[in-house]
Amino acid sequence: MRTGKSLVLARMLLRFFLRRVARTGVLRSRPVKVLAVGTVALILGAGAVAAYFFLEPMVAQEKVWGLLFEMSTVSVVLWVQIAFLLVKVLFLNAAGMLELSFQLPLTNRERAAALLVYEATMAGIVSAVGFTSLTVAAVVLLGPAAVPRLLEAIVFPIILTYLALSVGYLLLARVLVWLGLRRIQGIVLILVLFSLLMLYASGLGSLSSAASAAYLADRTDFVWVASLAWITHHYGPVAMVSVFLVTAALLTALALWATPSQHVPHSRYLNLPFDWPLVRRLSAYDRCLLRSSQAWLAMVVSAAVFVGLCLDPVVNPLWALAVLSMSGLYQFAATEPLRMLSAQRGTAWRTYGRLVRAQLLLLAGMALPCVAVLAAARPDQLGGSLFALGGCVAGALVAISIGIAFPAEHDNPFSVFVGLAVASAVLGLLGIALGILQMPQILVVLIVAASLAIIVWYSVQGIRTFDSRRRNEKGAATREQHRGGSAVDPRGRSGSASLSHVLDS
Amino acid sequence: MPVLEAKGITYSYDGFVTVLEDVCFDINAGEIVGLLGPNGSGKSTLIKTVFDLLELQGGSVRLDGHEHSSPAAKSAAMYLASNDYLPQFLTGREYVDMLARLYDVEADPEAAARLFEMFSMGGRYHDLIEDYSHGMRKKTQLVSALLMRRPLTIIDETLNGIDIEALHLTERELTRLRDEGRSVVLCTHDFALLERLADRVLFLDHGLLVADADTAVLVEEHGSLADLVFGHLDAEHRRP
Repeated sequence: MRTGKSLVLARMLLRFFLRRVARTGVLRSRPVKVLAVGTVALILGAGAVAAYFFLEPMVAQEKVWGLLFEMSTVSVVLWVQIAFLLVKVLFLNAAGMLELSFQLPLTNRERAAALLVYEATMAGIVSAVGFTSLTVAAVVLLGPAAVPRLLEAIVFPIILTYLALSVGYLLLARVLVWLGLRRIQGIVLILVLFSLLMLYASGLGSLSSAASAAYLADRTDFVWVASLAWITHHYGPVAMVSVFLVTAALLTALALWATPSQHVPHSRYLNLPFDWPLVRRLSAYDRCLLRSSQAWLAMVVSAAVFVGLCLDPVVNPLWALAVLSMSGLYQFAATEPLRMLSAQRGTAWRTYGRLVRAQLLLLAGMALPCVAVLAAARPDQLGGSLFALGGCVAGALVAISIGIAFPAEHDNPFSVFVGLAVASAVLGLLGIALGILQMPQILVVLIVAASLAIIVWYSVQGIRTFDSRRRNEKGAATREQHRGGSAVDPRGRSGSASLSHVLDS
Repeated sequence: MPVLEAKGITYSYDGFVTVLEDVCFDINAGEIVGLLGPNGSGKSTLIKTVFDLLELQGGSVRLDGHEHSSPAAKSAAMYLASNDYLPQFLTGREYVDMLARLYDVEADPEAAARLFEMFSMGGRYHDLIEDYSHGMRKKTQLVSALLMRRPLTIIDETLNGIDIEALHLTERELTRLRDEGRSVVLCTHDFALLERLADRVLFLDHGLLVADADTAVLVEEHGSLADLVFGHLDAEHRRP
């Protein structure tokens, strides 16, 4: 494999991110960009300040810090698994974007290796964000002395867990291909990752107990998840760093070797026969969603989460259906050709209604059998079902809104990732504010309802803006060109036979 | 040694409907070969399997003597897709530079700018591809191929949608490629163009290679390529 060629493609995808993703949807507006970055910074800053004040009284208690770092390592592994799963789901839906590289002289392995760079970056960002508060507070309170311990407890475990998951994922992918299961390997791999996550989450309590018991008893028991801390304790930091470097190098080499020569999937939609009398009434928007491979992936993951929650109901199992809203992230961009048809023209509200209707149909299609299963298998869990389903509807509205604000052109995972990050920051900020203010429940419900109303209104405004841009495409493109003239050659084009039609104003 | 050796290519999208069945042909160095066939005959699938964009389900493909999925094979051939789906976020120059890095060739900016000028795109080399019209994007693909000058260039209906002047220029440049000993596969429905340009024609229908012969021979036998194709399509054995 020619890694240099993979890096050329990786650089092209970076330009795709900077020039397309960061300049489409709401991100066209500089104030929105500043606001988005500010919100993320505010969330991280608030977390760091809260962690600082929480940890300040313990600054001199060496033992407590040791326990805290060990507990962080236990959480890091879970957090990286979540990030890895999220990123794999996003990239599994990225076939449209990969078509960009069809004309480039790259092998399928080189193409896959280029994507691994982005997968690792995204997973790294998600993983790092989860531990920013502790990291900043520890450095401020303990000074540079905290750095080696942060490396040992957080940074190195993040890297090793990610690499180990990658190697496992790639090797399993090879085994599935060898077994002739290439066509369904994506879904199988996601389910395996999810099972692994559930397995680790179920053992989190015992791992935490083992780590804390050892610390409290002044013992240095071997807890596999905190192996690096154990090596430091027994053989010193140099040995720990050496073990980390060797393991990371081996896992990286193994991951590169195991990267399969995977062909880009050629079908984004399943050819489902919608010929029965009732189903014939489905609109083109409904069919677009119900046939999309993204919706089916969401259904499979949702079913797996539902089964997991039925077995261990930490929340009402119907909350599993919230995963279905993931398909809403792609829905607006995927239905763009329908809005180009003159016969399909309608108001922005009507378009929004069509998008929501399709999501509700999908939700209803899954909710009916799930409620039936719940009533039969776990009737004790039926209470709160309405609330859970309401939450799923809210999730669908939020997902559609993200899809409109950050349209996933050619199913690119970057737009979805940025959209999810900004939405998480805004909703996180709202959650923190509600938590701090400790308002009466009825007021919280009203605020949530008002937030949803704003999301709906904002979505409709977004559709309106897109419609208006499309109708005025010629003028808008000319203005864009003049405004953004410095990015490209602004030389006079007037009167040239080579002028593109969008510039002939 | 042929620049492209395809032996027994078989492909099916769903495991039931066979799109390509035991397709065998060679492309020799220094020849222009036309690829003909109605929509759905398997032309684009054939091209994608040649470039390993679709997994080969049967047979083998070698490009310039290398197994088609190998890095060496990738360097030997260039694919111009039927759509105009180029990286719109790059400028024409950036796109050409990227291809040059991938093919390990020296991209001469002056030659590139000259070709842009020749194809009526003067002054647009540094513009974003996003601002190019459909025809300009296709011409950018052609210019890239002329700059990279690979042993084999496969053009999948890229010539549809470009203006007459550019088409005339393309014919001249493709002839020059052939004279240099390079090969071109031209997938098009333009029979007249193939009669003027192609040394040989492959005719694909329902995934089967129904003709593989010199253009002159086919024209002599059938009167014209159009008569060959329409005669086959109207034949009794082909009707449903």
